[in-house]
Amino acid sequence: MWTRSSAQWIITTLQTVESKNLQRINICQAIVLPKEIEEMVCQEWHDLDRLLVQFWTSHSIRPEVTYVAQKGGEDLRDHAPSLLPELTRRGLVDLV
Amino acid sequence: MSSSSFPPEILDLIVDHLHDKPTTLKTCCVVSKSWVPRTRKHLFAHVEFRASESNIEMWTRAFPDPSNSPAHHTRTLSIHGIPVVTATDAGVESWIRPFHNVEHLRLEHLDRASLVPFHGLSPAVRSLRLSHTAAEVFHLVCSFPLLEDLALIAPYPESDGDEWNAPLASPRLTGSLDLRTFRGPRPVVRRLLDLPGGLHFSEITVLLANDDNESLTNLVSRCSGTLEFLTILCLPLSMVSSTPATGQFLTVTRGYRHVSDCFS
Repeated sequence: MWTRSSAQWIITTLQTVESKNLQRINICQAIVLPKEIEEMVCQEWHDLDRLLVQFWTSHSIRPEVTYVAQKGGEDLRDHAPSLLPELTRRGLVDLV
Repeated sequence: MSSSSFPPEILDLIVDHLHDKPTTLKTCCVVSKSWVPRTRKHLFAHVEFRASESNIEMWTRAFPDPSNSPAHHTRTLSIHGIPVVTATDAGVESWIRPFHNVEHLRLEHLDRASLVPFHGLSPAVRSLRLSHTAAEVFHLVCSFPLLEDLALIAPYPESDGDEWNAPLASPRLTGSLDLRTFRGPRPVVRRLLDLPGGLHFSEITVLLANDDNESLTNLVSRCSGTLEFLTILCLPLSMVSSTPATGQFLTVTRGYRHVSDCFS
């Protein structure tokens, strides 16, 4: 199960990066989503979505998010647009 | 045309064009003695010892005289799963030391082997890949002054209680760091942060797979001044204990296929 703290750790890690040379962020995730995603978990994904879009638009740092589907999980193709709406809209989310 | 009248630089050019065709190179090797040195340069550019001591026996039997060994042509040396060496093994020097021009060194699954014989093996080592993260790894790291790229892929937990005396000098480490410890990255991160030369990686790959991600965050933060590419691999805790699933994840993750070897 995807834990709330994991999403927070990604955000925390990204926020520590101060490099002016940073060109690309790649996040590869293996997650098993429950049938009903908690509102708080959704909020964290939205925060991550906003942060990554901000990296791209403000600093020209291209983010790329890759999902790796696992057995027993919900179809990520259904959830990705709601969890990372802006990144999905911009075509930066890849389902493997 | 006899080989004596054939300009050697032309022959070298022809052989160089065949650098990625090992079967053809082997055929060239038996054409003439004068063809051997140049073909060896390419045939032995990548040497791999894998999972059997007989590999080493075959090597030493084929090249009993280290001074005549083609090991000096080797740029990439990989040793996998052989209980290779102990620090006191008298035969070690004879087959390892001739690899003194290696630039890329991969030592995997040498869990009970001493790394001492590899210290300073080649001053030209620029990339090092290891599958364990004990304190002695970092003394090996520091024995290569030009080291740029470091990969530490450790599927097993490492104790934080090891005696750790940081080396007095360390390479600048300006290339890539690939750090994948599946539980408890704190000891290895602590040792990395202790390196006296500092960390200047331009590319970092870390695995967030446990409840000790704070140390990884510190690591990324320490390199944030030079960082150009950041890859974060996320693995749910439930998958950490399930090696097939972990292997599957790392296998299908683009660009990291080789990591699945750790779980086979």
